[in-house]
Amino acid sequence: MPHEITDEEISEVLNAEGEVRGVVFKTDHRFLLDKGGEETVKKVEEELERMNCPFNYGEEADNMSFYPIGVRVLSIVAIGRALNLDREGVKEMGENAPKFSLMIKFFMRYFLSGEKIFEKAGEMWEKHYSVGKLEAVELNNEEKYMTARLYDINLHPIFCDYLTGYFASILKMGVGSDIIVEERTCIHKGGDYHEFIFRW
Amino acid sequence: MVEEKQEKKIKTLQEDVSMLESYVQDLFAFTPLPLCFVNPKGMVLEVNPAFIKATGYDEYDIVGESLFKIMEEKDVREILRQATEEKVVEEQETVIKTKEEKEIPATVFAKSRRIEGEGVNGIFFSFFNLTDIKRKEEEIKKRKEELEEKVEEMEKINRLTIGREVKMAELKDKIKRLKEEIREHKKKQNE
Repeated sequence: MPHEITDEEISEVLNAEGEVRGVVFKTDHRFLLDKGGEETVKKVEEELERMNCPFNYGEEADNMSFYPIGVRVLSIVAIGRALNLDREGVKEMGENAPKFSLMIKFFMRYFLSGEKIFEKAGEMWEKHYSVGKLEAVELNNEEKYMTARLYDINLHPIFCDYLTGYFASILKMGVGSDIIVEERTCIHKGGDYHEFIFRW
Repeated sequence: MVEEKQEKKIKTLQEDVSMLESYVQDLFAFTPLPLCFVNPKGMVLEVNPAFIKATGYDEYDIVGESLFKIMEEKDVREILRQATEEKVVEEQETVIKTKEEKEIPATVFAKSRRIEGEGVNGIFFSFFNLTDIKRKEEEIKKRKEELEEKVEEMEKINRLTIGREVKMAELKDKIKRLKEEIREHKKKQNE
């Protein structure tokens, strides 16, 4: 089932504090072009317009510039609506994003092992977002799992789905195996933070 | 004033990074040689359009996956070992498996990328398609075999011709001898 978002939630998300680097819109743009070309990009931009969040992926998205964090979430919502993505589809979009992200390319030097990614997770987050704090909590190579917590960010559950795919994709590049990820604690479900567990 | 200056500096740096990014991307996209960048475990981190064209795998299929998907595991391991230990690998023959299960003979060039104080952080791979060269080699081999067959035939004919000539000379001698014998015989009869 796709995530629903009310007008009130849209307004809250749009007014959320914090910024995000434009590289995320570049990866969204790439995803849309690959999924359905310019026509799909246009469809998503129309969705954004309807949400009072006009955005032109081709002209406005610049890798290094900062944008309101709400646009990040609404971009995912608009893509989900335009492509009729369910939660798995959103996760898949998150999985694909690091493959095209310039910012992630800067961190490729650390994609050598789970340990390296564990060490650099927080830094990677900070390069993308001005709010929230990502902390790798536990890494167990014998039992092949890692946990990470995301603090102080409360936007919309669709963003959690996107992030599960995104984080799993990065970890896969380091450990060299497919990753099964689960968000076992979530702010949207009463948790104090988001906690993700990754198994391989 | 100081903040304004810093903001201007950051903006300039951002523009420089964007320009550099676009330059690297253009260069990477321009080269007709299939290229990829993998981590020391052989996980593909980046590919260029020529790689996509040659293998049939797009970025979704191959980035974040192991290079074993397109090359024999033992070949990948050996090249990674050599590139890590010796920095550069040149003209290592291998076979590339495309998405359509087609096998392409190729030579691999690999070079490790090192960061001071951190060691090897990735390896560049480039591939040279040997299909045309192999085809030409096959053609040359076939032509060589054909030529060898012809040479052998010629030698056989030559041997036969020479044999015939020797035989003719022998016969001529024999005729000459017989003629002399007849002459001698007639001479004796007349006496």
